[in-house]
Amino acid sequence: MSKRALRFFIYAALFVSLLPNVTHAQGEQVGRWVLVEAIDYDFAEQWAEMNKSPVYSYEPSYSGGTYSVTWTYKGESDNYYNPPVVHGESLAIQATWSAPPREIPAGQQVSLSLSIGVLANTQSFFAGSGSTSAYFDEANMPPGSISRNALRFVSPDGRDSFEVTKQGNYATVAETVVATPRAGGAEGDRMALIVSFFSFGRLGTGYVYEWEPAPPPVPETSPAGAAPATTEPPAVREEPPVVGDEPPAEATPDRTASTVSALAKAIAISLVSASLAAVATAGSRLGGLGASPHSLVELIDKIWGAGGEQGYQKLVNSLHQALSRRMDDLYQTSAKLGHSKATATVLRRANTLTKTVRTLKAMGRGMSMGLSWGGIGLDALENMQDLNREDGSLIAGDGLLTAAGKSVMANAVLTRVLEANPAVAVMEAATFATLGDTQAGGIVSPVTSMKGAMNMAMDAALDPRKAIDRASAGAYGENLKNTVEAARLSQEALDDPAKFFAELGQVGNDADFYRNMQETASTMWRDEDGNVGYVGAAGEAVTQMGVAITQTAAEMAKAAGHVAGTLFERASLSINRFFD
Amino acid sequence: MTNPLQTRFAAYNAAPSGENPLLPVPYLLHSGRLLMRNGRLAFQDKRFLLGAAALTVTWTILPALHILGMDSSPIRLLTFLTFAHGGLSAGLLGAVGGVVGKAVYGSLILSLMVGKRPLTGVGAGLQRLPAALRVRGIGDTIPLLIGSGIAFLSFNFLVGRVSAQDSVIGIVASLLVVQSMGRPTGFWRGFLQSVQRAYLPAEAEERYPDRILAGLATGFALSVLLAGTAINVLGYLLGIGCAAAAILLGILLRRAKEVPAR
Repeated sequence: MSKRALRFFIYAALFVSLLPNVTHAQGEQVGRWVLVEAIDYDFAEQWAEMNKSPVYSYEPSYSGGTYSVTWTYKGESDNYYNPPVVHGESLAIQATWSAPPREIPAGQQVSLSLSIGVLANTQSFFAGSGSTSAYFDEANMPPGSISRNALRFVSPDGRDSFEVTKQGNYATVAETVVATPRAGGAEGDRMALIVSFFSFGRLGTGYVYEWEPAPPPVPETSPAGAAPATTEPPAVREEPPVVGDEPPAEATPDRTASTVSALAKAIAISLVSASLAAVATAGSRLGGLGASPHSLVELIDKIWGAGGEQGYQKLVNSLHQALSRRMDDLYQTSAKLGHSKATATVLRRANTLTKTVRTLKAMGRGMSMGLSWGGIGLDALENMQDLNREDGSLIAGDGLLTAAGKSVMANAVLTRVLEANPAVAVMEAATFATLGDTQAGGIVSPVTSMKGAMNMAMDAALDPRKAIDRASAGAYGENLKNTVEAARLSQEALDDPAKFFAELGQVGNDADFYRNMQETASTMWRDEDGNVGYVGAAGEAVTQMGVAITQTAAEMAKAAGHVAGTLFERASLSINRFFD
Repeated sequence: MTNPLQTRFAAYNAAPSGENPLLPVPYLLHSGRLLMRNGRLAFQDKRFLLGAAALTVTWTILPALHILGMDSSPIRLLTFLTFAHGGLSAGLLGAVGGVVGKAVYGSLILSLMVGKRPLTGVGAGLQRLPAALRVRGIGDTIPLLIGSGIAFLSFNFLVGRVSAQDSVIGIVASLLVVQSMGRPTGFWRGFLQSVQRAYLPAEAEERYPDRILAGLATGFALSVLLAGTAINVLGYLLGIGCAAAAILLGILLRRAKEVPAR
């Protein structure tokens, strides 16, 4: 992600986060929620249905914020199980909630206290449980249902549901929970504070609130010192900061202790997490081979502005260091994957990707020399790679200084070319985006071809035979490989024309030749794993069509040649006879 | 003349005796050593230290505001965006999961801070995703189910209690898995390949690691939807369900292969 994109993301996030803040600020102190109704949800039908069971009975009870359910097993005892099933074993769980406030000024936090525990427990085999929670939600929402916009009451340690279970030894839970409801909109807007209790079945209460906007403020037109011409201030101003029937939270020692404990936990977790994140970032290969903070980026930082003899030495040292580190990266990769085709694929992809990223960067920033220096390391490494001829024999890579020298020159020339022709950079980026790391991509890529040509020219100056060898092995790209192959064929044609044309004549008869062409037409658009993109798929179709046309044309030419050859043979015989 | 590159390759690959870097456990140990070796750089580099300090402050202030009763929309949004609530619910297990989740999330943010490209490879991973998700037979669903199951379990572990506030880690984890699909040198791909080599039959297809990663990516993405259900342990339940389904399918397929042709 570029810095610009990151900046955009941060600004967007801030903007989005501020929007609700502004709305909230506007809604603050201009109204209040007033309790207008309390709906008891006894779910009588559900309990009645459940009580049809021949083996279980349920006794739900609800009264003024206290909810309880007594469950009893009515079936027969059975000692088969351990512990046994016992007739009459039962569990009674009760939850108690403090009464919600009659008014909630906008922006004010609501505090409720709750407790949930066991009234009686004679369970043997069974293990019932109970839970309770509260939340602000839409006015018509029954307990147990919850909308996307619901706002849960949470305890200081972040819990929003409280339960008693066998696993927890049915220990009683007592907590103070808080939540701040949204500000209302228009007058008459409704919401509900919903208290929900569940033990085998559900009970609950919906406290419905209605929004009352405050009267608009009266402009202060009275002279200074005179009493403002307003009515008495709205009741909301006189409310304590935390509403509810509990004393203010700050006054409770237990709450203070739990707040401090929660804060300490948050700090400890943050510290450990951030340290681990730093280690993971520094230790991972997250940025790929080309983005280690101690290689490419640092190299550019170091050599930026370097000049004179000292600068040159600095540059050489940095280059050596960067190359050494890059090699370490390659060795690590190799050690992970083993010496295999996969390693070669990894290196080639890493190289291609880095080159493309560099090209894209150059498009955006105007081809800086610093980035061209940065590319030197990878190209130098590429020049140092050993290659294989078709017969498997080894073509030795360049030494470090030769490889670096070639890379410096090739990148310098390429930078000039790209500066003068930005369209080339666009084409390179488009090639990578559409064809990726495929044979076809290698053929189309202008950067690959240009660099290949320059490297080949420099190699040819030092060792022409090696240059031809490397070109045939594909070191300079597919185009130059094909060019060299064509030149080799031409040379053969010049050396022994009869043999060449005889072989060429056989080509059209060889069914394998066309099969190979069809296979090549298929593979050249795909990467190592056989994946093909949209452009590649289209290219593959066109190439296959080209092969078919070639085959047809060859068949036609063969037929024409046959006719011409027959005519030529007859003419020769006639001429020979004439001279005989 | 000996090529210096060859010499260094040979020296580097002279692995300690008895260690095969392609088996899972040595692979993990090797990766752990590399992580620790390179990770030490974090404490010598001001950028990392400043980034870690910024994360610590952010992850402390936002929960603190919530604990102190300031629960406005911007705070909730920032808490969501920064995964600040991670590790603060569901007891010790939730704390451990939250620390791991925050480390993963934080490494992404730190990468941005120190100039790395944290999303490199996501595009390539997305290109591989459809092929990895393509199911040609019932056997192909097994690695997908395994991946999804691990994702659901991991999501629940990372967030403690399933809630919308923490669900951003599902998005981030999904992105990171997709990224590792697009990066042949990624840790997860390497690890899955080592597991495949060590424990799966030779005829297991080459795309197995890709399919598991695709399952992971899909599972993490779907995990975000769990936040709307308000069932705290739904991730664990789904994860166990997927794993059970994968095992069952595996057994059925093996039996089907073992039945002799009549």
